[in-house]
Amino acid sequence: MIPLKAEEILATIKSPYRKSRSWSRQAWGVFWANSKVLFSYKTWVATELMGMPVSVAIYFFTGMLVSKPSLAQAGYGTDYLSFALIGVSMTNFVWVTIVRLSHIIQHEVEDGTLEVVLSSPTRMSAYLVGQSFRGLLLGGIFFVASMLVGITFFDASLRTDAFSLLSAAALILLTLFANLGIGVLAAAVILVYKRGDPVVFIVSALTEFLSGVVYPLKLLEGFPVLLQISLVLPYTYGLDGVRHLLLKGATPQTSVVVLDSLVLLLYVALLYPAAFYAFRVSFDRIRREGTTASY
Amino acid sequence: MPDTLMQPQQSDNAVEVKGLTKIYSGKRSRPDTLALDKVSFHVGWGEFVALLGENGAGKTTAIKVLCTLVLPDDGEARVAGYDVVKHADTVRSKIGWMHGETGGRALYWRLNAWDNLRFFAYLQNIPRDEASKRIKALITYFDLGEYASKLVKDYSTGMKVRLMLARTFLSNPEVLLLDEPTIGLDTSAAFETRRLLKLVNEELARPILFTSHNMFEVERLCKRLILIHKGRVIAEGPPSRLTSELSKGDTVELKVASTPDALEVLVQEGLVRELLKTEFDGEASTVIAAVRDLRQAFSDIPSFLVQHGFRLISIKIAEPSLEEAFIRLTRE
Repeated sequence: MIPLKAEEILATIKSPYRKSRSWSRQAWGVFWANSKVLFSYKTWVATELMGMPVSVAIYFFTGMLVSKPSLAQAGYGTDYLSFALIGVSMTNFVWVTIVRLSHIIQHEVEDGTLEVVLSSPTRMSAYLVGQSFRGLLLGGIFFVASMLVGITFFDASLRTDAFSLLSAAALILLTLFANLGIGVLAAAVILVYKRGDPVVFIVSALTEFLSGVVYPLKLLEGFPVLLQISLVLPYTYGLDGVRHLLLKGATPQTSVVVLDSLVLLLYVALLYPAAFYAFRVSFDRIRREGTTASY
Repeated sequence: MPDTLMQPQQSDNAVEVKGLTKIYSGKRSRPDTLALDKVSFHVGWGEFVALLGENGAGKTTAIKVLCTLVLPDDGEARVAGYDVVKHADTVRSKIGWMHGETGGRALYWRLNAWDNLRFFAYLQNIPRDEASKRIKALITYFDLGEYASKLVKDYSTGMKVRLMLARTFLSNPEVLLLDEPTIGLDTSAAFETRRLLKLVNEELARPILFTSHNMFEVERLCKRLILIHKGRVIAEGPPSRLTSELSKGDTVELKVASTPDALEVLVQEGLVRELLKTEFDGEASTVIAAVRDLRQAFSDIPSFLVQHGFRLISIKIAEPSLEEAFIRLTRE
């Protein structure tokens, strides 16, 4: 050691700089570092990407079993592949928004890296948003790639004009923000219990099976309890709105899309304060218990 | 009011701890653990203070309270004049914390050294160009240049600890809280780290509170030490005062032509209280022993040894080393 003298180091680190607490800089730093971590798992990224055409193909062939009149009755047109493609691609987003954040927190607690973040002047919200955006990036890549595979290789018929795509993108973002609230809530639970987050299990399982990912909600009319549960899930409204935009040519002014958007906005308004409060409570609890790391 | 606008309480000390108590609640049938029991101490601006204690004594808990990672149950702790509970955000912007005992776990192993430091620079809001300059210098100083682009997962423990040290110095924090900073370092790296710590303390007047099990290091670096045992401060002061106070004229150094085991008889016969340290050079044993009465020891021990066929080479009053003082204090 010692290609540099201690005196030289001293001169470098003592040079003054303007210290300002920039929320966006911190959030970007968290997003940047964690995206680098994610993409350092090259084999994982490659296998995930390779699995995508397979998943689209499965729904292409499943679609042959679904009768067109029953799908049309639900109000989403007659192309099952396009219907399922939107559902499945968006489900990936649910996974990343709800599950990914709590998984990351769990790893950070186990690795001891969370302590480093928490003992620095990082704002909690910047950390959570930065971490969540990593999931959004990943989900976004898979969403776009799934759509492209479906349209290019399996002839999925989706509206691809700029207005429809932009409207869908806006609604997808709103859906994600609503779900991120649940993700932060799940992270608050994992912070305390370290493993086996019930919020993640319940919400992600219910979302995947009851929000109409692979079948129209009309099929649940015979199961009133399940239908009621599905109507509580924010994802149900996002999926419905995006399908109307991309399958039926609806616009953001169409009443069903307006209603879906309003429900999602309500979720954002309710969930965010609750989720960030819960995270703060959990953080104080692990500080009381002395379990900010579990290495 | 935003936390950063809160004025600190006037304080002559960089770290001030008063009656700090921390109890970890036992889960299920396990009992509660009293980690800190009304602990009080301070670190003045520009002071270099060691917090010593055996494993589980409460050192890490005390440090973690100071860096806002653990909430105390009672008492008060201030860093740079700011309360660690009420003004936690401000405290975090003042401190540089390092936990060497993790052996480099608290790093992002899937990032390289450069990116680990860059990430921390983002969290500390260090401007990009300034961060690059500092990262380059620190990576060079801590001899990580050759590996800077390799993922941390492939580093040795010593390299990880060096990277953690580099991270601690990156923002030039006002108060350094270092929990075993040289653990896992090789001799050369530990030497250079001590040199840098000393310089940061003396030239930049940065107060340093650090923990270590290496008494050589403590004696070289610290002007004052705080000894904590079972959650309580049991001694405090300069190392020299601690050792001289501890000697209290009741420690003798004996050199006897015998093996150390044979000299256990001195304890059994009640001539000495305890053998604190024994060394054997193949021919003679040098023993540091605690006695009850010095005057009596000087008359009784030589006559006993002679009567029992031992050859006493020398006997003199001994002052315990810091290590011996530490052992004696924690045993008492």
